[in-house]
Amino acid sequence: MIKIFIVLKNVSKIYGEERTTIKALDMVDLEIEKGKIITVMGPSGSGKSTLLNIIGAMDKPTSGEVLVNDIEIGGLPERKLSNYRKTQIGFIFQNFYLLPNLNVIENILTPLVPYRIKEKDRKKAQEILEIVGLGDRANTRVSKLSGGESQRVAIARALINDPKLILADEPTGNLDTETGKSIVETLIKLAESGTTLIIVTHDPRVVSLVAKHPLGKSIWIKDGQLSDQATYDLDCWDD
Amino acid sequence: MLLFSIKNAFRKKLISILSAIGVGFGLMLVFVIGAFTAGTSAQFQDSLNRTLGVVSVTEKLRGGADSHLPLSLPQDLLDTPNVGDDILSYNVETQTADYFTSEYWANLSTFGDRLLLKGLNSTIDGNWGGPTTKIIEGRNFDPNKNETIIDSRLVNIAQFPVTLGSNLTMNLDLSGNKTSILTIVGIYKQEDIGAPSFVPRDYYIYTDMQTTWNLLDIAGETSDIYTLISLRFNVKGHEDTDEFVEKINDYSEADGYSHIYVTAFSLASFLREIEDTFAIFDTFTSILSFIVVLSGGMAIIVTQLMSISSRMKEFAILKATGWKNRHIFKDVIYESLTLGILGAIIGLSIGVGLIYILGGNLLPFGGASAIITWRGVIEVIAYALGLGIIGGLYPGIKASRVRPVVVLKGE
Repeated sequence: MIKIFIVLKNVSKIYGEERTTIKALDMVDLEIEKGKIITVMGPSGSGKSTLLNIIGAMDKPTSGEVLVNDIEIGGLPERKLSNYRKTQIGFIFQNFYLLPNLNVIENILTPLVPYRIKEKDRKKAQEILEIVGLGDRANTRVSKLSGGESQRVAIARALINDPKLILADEPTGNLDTETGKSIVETLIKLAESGTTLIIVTHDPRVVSLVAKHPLGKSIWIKDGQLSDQATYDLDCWDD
Repeated sequence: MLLFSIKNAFRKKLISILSAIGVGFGLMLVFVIGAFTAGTSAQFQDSLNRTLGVVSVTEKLRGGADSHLPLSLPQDLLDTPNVGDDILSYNVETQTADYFTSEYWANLSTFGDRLLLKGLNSTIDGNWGGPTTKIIEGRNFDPNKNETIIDSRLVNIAQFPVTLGSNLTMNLDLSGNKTSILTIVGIYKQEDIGAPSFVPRDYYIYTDMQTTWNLLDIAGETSDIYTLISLRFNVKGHEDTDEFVEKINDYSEADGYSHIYVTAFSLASFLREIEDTFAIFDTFTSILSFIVVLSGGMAIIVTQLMSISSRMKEFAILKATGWKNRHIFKDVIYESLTLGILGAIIGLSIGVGLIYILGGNLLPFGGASAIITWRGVIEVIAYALGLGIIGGLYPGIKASRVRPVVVLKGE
């Protein structure tokens, strides 16, 4: 039986007050199965990042219901939301947001800092580094890394807590074409182990790559509403 | 987490270090003033203890060196009811006129320093535990041989002609026509008063009582002999000493007391009056410490605010990875504590150095006493921890309340 991992029912998100309100999400209904690789595609301001933030419990919907892994996250207090983010979610951002004063492995371990880092955590961080292809850069200062390498460190950091769901907001936005492709391939490879992956992007090449994967699925969003598939050239990253 | 926070404390290296130095200087001030207060207080307490039960008696109308007391007075005091029975020991001295030794004053270290000649009775001074029992070099003077023992502090004064066996010339009249020679035969140990070196000091040289009387031309007389009689009473506290002072002063002719022209006083009661001045000084130190804590706290607050303002996105990401508000608050507090403790290390290091320099003889303050106590060190560390917590409180709250979605939306 296919397990529905994420459920959004009539979810709306409105910013501002009265006359100056902006509807970032408008009565969105969405179901995502466990283990799927999803791209959320849409123009700037369409609401794709808002959707990601709501699923990741970084933001609360104005109305509607959000269930992730059977947890109704809309009603959770801040303390439990932190715990939800720690145990369920791995975030990846366009700008990496690594701590420049720490080396690669220290950056990967930052989510565990408040919980006392053990030797097995270090071993795990090293294993993840091998997976993302930076096994020999563990002790390098992140300020000395390239954009692609930095994003790989950010991916490794997102994986350290064994998340059930990886949320990637424009992960290739600051990378060149080749590096971007390699990063998306890495993410897809990681998701194949059963982790649900949602990538927000406005890059059709990312959508193309994901669409060709058996677990891949694409969602289009426009003006806060899920819409039909738009027309994109889906072959642009093909060799 | 501690190591993580320590590293973060130096994200803006220069500002963090300058802030720690600022805090360090403040704490150094608290430490140094505390050490000098402790030193002065200990010295003061020591003086107070040494004067416990000691009462001095001089002539009522002409005090000090001009005092004239009769040969019979010590025995009279021993025979005085409610007084004599409690006298453990006594000492007598006759001080000569200033002009006897004033020729040497210019050779002393500070303007205002004086060299003075006094006569002692070796046996009585021996019972008392006076200078004749503290010879550290040479020997005690022999009676009637124009010999003298000198203050050990004079040995350190380069201009003063001090060697065992050398002579000191006493001017027996103001014109300097009549002189007498005293030979230095011993050096007695004398602790310094502990005040800064610009404070004038009196240095005493002693000879036997008979020699003094001969020099003063009062040999054979039985009155106008002593300038000071010191009595040590059997007492438990300074209040008891005061009581004996009152008893001696309250006797009148009506009580059959024949020496109403004398006055008694205790150095202890004078010192205890000074104690009030110390209380004011203590208050001043406390106010200063408070100002230091306040300004140090402000330095850390400003540094931390600058630091966290530039790191809001970072805190947002940490929250996105599962950090709770209290984790971020704790991180900022640890960072502030790191700055505070670094300040304490800087403050203590400079403070110890400064105390070493000021406590030595390198500066005009030379000789000032300072004591480095564990209490002083712990106080500085406590202030540093307090500063860290106060300084990190507001920035910590501000950082912990960051809303990731608001901060990251700005991208």
